[in-house]
Amino acid sequence: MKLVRSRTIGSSVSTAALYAAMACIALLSLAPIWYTTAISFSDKAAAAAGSVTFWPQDFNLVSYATILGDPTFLGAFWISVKRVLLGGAINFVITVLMAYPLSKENREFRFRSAYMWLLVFTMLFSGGTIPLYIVVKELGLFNSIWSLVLPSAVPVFNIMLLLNFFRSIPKELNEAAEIDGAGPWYMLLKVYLPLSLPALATVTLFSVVNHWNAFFDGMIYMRSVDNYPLQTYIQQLVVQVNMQDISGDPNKLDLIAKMSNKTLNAAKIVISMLPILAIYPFLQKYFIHGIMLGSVKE
Amino acid sequence: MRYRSLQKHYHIMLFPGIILLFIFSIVPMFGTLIAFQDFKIGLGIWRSPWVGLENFSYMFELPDSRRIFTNTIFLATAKIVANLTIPLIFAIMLNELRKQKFKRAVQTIVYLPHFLSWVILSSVISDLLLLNGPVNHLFEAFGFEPVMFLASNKWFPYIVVFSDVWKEFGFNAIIYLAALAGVNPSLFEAAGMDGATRLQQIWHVTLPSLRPTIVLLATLAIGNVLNAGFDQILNMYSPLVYESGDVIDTYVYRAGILDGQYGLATAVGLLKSVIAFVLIMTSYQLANRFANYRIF
Amino acid sequence: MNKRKIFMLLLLACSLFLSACSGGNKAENGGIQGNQEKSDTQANQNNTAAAADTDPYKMPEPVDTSFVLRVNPDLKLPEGDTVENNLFTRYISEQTNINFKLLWYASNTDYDQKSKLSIASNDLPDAMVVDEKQFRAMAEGGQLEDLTEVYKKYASDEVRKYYDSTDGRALEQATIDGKLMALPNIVPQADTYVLTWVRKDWLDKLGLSEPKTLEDVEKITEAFIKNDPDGNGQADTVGLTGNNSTITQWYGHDFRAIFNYYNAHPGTWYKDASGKLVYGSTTPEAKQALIKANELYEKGLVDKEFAVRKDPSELVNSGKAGIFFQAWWVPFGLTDSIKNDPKADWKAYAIPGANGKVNVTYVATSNAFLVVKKGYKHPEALMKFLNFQTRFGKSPTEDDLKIDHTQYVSIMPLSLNIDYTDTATQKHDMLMKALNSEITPEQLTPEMKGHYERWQRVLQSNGKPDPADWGAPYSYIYGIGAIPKAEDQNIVYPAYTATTPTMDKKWSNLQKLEDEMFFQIVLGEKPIDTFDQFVADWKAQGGDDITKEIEAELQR
Repeated sequence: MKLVRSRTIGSSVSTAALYAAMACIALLSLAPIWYTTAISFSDKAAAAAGSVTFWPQDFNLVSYATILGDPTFLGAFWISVKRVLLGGAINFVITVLMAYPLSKENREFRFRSAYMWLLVFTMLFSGGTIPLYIVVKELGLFNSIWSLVLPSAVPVFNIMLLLNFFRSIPKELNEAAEIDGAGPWYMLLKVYLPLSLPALATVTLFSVVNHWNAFFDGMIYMRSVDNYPLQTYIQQLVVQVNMQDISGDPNKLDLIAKMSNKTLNAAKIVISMLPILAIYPFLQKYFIHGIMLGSVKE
Repeated sequence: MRYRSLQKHYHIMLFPGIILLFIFSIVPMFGTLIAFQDFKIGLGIWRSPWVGLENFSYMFELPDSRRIFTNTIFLATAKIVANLTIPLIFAIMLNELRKQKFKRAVQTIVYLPHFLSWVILSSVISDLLLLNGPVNHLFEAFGFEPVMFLASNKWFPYIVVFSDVWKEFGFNAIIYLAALAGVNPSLFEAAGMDGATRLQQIWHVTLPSLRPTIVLLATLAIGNVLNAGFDQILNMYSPLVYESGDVIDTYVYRAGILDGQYGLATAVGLLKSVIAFVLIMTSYQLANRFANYRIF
Repeated sequence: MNKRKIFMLLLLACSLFLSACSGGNKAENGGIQGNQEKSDTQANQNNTAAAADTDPYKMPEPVDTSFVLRVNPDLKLPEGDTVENNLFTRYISEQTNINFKLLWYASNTDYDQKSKLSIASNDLPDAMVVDEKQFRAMAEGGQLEDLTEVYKKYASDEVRKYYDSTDGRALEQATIDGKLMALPNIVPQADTYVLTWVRKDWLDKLGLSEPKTLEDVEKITEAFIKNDPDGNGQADTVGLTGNNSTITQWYGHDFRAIFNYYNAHPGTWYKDASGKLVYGSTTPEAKQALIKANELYEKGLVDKEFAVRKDPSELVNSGKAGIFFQAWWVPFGLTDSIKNDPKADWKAYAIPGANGKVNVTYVATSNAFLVVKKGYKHPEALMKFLNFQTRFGKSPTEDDLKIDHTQYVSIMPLSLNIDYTDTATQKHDMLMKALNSEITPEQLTPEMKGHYERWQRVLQSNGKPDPADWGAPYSYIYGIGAIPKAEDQNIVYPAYTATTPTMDKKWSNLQKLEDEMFFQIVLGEKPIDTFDQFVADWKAQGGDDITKEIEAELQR
């Protein structure tokens, strides 16, 4: 569907300026990524000397070989994929199920405010790491993928976004459907969801990104590196040594040699970004093109 | 009447989420007790000695607590404002682009820096700001003296805010874009037919349709008034810019290196939560009372 | 219909979730209980056997000990071996009758976080190695088994010999209220020597001699900056590197060298010449050092941007800096420099202070503690294991030598270094003897034999050594080699390394005061006289109270 637009000379100049500005902004954002990628393909010694700028120096793939060649990598990758699928699905279902009733008016749903404030409360207050660790331990979830998806199963911010979106869906639709005898489940699944694709794509992206990037929970709940999700696995490849605590320990000395491995660090960032980039277009099309609100147009 | 029969279903819809929240958010809140303890890891939550509000008063009794709070609030407020407006402007600009491929490419690129950690980004920034780095070359080209930006208390706060916007604006814009995508295109059509200029269209159609999103994000952002961005500042500051860059979180972090200081960290976290809660609740009530508008 | 279906689905999901949770729970509890029952029966058997239990290495009956392990991230084990079950653990259980059960393992950074959480939630293995803070916290929390008797009864002569060599300082650090609550390590103090690393090839090129005084260091630095030692025709060489996070703490590249030169020992509580307890950052000597550091900075002999430079080693690796302060082990990280410039010939020098001696600030005798969980039935097993571990590394038997040390030493459970404090120097001497053919390589310990072999490979590599081979032996030969003889040293021992109650409250503020002021003085943003103001503030804002508290502690 083409939009009708008035085109004048003035507007085409401003259009050109707009495109140029956007291109500049994009370049500014691309710079650090480009730089990181260049380092990841460089020789370790060149990177350690800080001499990599725009192009990789002494192009090589050692860092990628190191990461990809480790059998643990594939396992961790797979755990992350499972985590994103399972965690994303749980987030999605919970978000949709909670956003719908909470998008109702107080007169339609009497306890709405109570629930809402409970959600806001849990979003702002947290007991901290130690009690959550104890809870996860008592539930016997250590080493289980459930420890990665259940504690973050209720994404309150996403729920708020979606419920606001739900609210912008015209009331007439509601009433029309209700007259046809549609129940709330039907309303949600057949009327609201199809109309909310941009918002659904957004909240899905947010929870996928959150699950993909999370590393701390994997680190504390998993008792073996074999159970680490990708980001946790990659995180621990980046070696940090307390310089005051070497103590001639051969292990720690060995770590020093590996510590300033900038190319490895860069490669791990590139590798962990690629899957997100790969799925991005599928979500992006929903919130960038928009959708035709066919039923609203009448 | 008919609402009553629906309510049952609403409760059922909320049930699974509420149960999960109860287990993984409400139950662990016993951990906030640590805020009132001189918490010792060996003694744990049940046996550590109680100290009342000592952890809370700690931050206020420091010789330079005033400076720390001022820094925090200044940086946080600047970030809140910038991170609300700049992504909004960007999203509106992007929305004006008609070449879909270009638009998608730009949008994809700008959201990438979100995935870079501050460890990486801070070293990129410090390279850019070196005395013989590109920014200082630019400065010299305009006849200014080169500056050690990251050692300057005058510049440091601005660099923090600017680089934070640089990292996050693409990601933050996504919510606005999604809201714009949900706008009924016939509204734009109608405005176009009426011969509205582009700016008029933005003013009369685009912005009003973004209003609920803007209000929601602004309200939630107000809660961050004591969060100046721990990770970023920790990676960018040095003792030379403590004066302008030391914030509550970095201070608590350094206090924790010595002796755990879980009590202090939890107290500060709790204090921030309470303030956020009060601010958010207040703005919610104000919006409700005066504009008859419910934010969430 | 539809509604009911969904409702049923939800119910199903909930019950699945609940059963998944409780299922997992049962399994874990079952495991723990199983272990306990098992060890209970063993305990009973043991009581009967205890009378005859005199073997320093082997338990009379097999016992299970759960532990946690710190591993390096790129650990490679032979096919079929795991971190928990491998040739090495099987050998341990054959030699000691201890079956180590791995509760969890993690790499270096993760390990610290995880062990803290473990302790805070009382989710402990039977034995673990912790730092001093954690050790004291655990002892305070009553989480630890008293090892006094165990040590008396089971410590091997070898272990006793090493502990005794510290004049009791090591055991004293692990003793709380007269009870030995942990088995401490012994820190090799070689790390504490501040060495000046210099590009010898640049010295030769500019016709300079090796540095013997701080004045020499200044002259060399100036020459490196002005005389284009890398011969690239550009004035792109910086002088001394600096550390952007600290002026005084020994993280490397910082200015501790200058402080030590004036016999100042910043960041350390010690007794000065008159026997008075002082904090090393507040002494007149520290002021002298700050004056000097500021002078060097004003003269341009220090990297002008050190305070904002994230990574000073970039300068070293890129050949832009030819002189810097670091510990003996820095060659482990210098391989990139060598690769970028094979001519780079780094040598280390210990510069004597104004008092004619090489001043050095020792750290605490022990910084790692092997602790046993309260209620664990066989604390003596850990003592025996420490005996075994020490034997395995320091005086291996024929059988011990059959195990590949380089392969397995990195997954030693509960690894704890027990050795002389000057062990690094002894290792250096040994290695040099072997290299000079005074002894055969077979007479070396497995660790030093490994370095010997590495160095042989380096020598045969025609100037293109494998970086993995080069760092370790080079550090032992040239890094440790620079540490002066005992009579040329002035060692300052810390008087106190734990924390007092006032420190808990006020230290972060005092530290901030110090860091901020020292940076400002070195960069010339504040005049040197503000140091006196700093000392006064420092004392008023809690320093005096802390000093009193420590004095009281020391008199106890």
